[in-house]
Amino acid sequence: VKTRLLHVGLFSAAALLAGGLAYVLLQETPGIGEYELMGRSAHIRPDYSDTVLPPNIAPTNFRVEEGGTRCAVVIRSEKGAEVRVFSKSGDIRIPWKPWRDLLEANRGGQVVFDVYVKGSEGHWQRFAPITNTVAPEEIDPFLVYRLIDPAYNLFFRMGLYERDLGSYSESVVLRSESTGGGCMNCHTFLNNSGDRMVLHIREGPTPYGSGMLLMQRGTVQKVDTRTKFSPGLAGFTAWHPSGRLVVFSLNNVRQFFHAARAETRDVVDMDSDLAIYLPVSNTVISTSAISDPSRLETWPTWSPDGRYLYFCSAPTLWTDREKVPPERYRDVRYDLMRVGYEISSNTWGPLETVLSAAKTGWSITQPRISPDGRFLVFCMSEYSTFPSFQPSSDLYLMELGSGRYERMACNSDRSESWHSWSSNSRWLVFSSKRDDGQSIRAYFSYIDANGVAHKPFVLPQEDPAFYDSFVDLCQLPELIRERLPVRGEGIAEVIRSGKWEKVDLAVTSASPRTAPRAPAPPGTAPPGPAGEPWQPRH
Amino acid sequence: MVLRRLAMINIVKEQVPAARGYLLALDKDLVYGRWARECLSRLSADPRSAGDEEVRRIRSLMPVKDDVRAVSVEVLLEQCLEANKRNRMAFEYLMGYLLLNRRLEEVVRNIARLSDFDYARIPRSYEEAILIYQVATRSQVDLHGRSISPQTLERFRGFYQILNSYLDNPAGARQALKDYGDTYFYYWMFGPGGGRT
Repeated sequence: VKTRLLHVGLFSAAALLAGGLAYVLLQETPGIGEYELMGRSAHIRPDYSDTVLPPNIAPTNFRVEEGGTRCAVVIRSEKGAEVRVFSKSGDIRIPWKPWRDLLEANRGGQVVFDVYVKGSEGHWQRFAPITNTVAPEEIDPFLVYRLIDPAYNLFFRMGLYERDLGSYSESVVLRSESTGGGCMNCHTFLNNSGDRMVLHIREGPTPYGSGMLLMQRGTVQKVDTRTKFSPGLAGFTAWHPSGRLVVFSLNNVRQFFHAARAETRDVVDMDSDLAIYLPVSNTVISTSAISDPSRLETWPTWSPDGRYLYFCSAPTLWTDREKVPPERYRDVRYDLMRVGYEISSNTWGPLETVLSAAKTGWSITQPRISPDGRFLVFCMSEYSTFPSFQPSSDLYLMELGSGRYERMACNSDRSESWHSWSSNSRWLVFSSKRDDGQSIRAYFSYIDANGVAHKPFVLPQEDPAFYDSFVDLCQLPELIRERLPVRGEGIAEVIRSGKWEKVDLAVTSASPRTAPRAPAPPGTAPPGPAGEPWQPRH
Repeated sequence: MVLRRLAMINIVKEQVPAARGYLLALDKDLVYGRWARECLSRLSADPRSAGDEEVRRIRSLMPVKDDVRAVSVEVLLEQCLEANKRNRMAFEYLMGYLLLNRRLEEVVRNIARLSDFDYARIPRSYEEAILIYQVATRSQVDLHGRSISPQTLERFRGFYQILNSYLDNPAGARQALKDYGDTYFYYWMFGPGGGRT
């Protein structure tokens, strides 16, 4: 089919003025003229097709993989001016301002990519339109993640970074070089706010010590949560929505290796418990419901109203805690549990099983509840506490009102894990190994009001070929609403100087493994302000 | 170097997209760039690398049965030998590891594996370990049709004779036996943690 359309003499200048420097052909104005209609969409990479985009996302630059000598992409929508980009290489770098204007004007509508390719014989082809939807709701504008080298035992660079999702700007929060080569992990925010953050530090070759960094309103505090009752360092952490306490796991985690499978790494928690840190009194408490000696408790998270602590728990299947891996490591499957908590009186409610591994047949990990309190997203894998090392790990969404759950549509046949909600409960970011089974990349999925996950898209990059050679692992993507107030040397200097503040040894309840399992006495938690601020946002 | 290894591992395991990522990351590398580009070119033509002799060789030596025993040199080498009993490099590393760690009983047990390879004779260090084991345990080792060479037997007699004459003088023995410094006898006696008979 031959059709006449598209004269490109004018739009090159407009695109260049808008900042789209990438191969916009101002003078050549090739004039597409006649073209052949193709019965399919063009192959583009990354795959930004049939997905839902936030109206405040950076341009989704991509590469057209159809060969040819020239390429043109017209980005159009119902409202606003078209955006036109030419390229000789096939790299489509979309100018920022027209893109953002187009998305803003078409919230709730669609944005269409018309792709034209000029073949080596000089004829143009027009491919079927690529359509994406623009969501009405924005995504939290910043993403914090850890980047680490791909080899498990040889990392020379590790860093925590903050990415502005509206642009390609990435800034350093903390790098291992400035902290003595140590490890940093499990950055955790309070209610998607950068104002309160917990980050765990493990000392490296330069012994600046290990512990928990507590960052509140621009101040950084070094806390050593270890006591004779809770000897391990804090692991997975979750702020109570009030900001008055954090729950953390104590994991005796051991790594081991498979001799012959695609993912060679594996881990097992030989032992684990949960405990709670109270910043105001600098004390640690626990209770038998979350530190049962016969079970492995981990992956804590609070309900948005602060009244339930959700976590994962599995029976301990071994007595020998030194043999790694234990004989029955493949039988470890975690249940999803919750226990009521009343912060004003520091009293615990009954322990409940929300979803049992016996029912699902799989291991449930990493529960995270949407800020509106409606949905709980968790991982399920064949076994294990650590879904990132399990190719079988998928994301599941539970509607908390009914308890119904289902596998989310945003999964792949590779591992999905480490998900984080946006503050408006409409976006989920997660780590996925879908691209090659090893690289970990941040993907975003729109979750509509019915809890349906839409086709995800990868974090946009300025260079369309960025992911071809990017081998660093992007771990723990967490969405926040504002920039972190403290970063770089502001954090590193605290790590390098002074002592880690030991938690109060007058621990109100003992630790999980060696002490009586009495609940913490009422009144231990500091009283909250009137009108609790952590009520769910609807 | 790490990226090169990761690329090669993934080529061997036929994880082509992952291999391609590491190769592209090396593409501009001053040292390995050319190698990476050549590999990329080969992968495009032959994604399974079935025609690559080095890849075929490594694949023939790879463990095929999954095993999660904690990583140790010994376990890894045993896994390699389970996958391919003719993996000579794995066998020699294993024997070297056992010799260095003075685990003579296991050295002796693995002598049977010599028949999986084309050794013309028992390697000298193995012979020397066998002789020490026989003296220490007053037992006879099954050599599976092979024999200790006369030269090794002669050397052992010489070593033993000098050693016996310096029973109360270890420093003197060490000095007197310095001509045996390239033997396993000497390592056994005077190497790290030595002094056993």
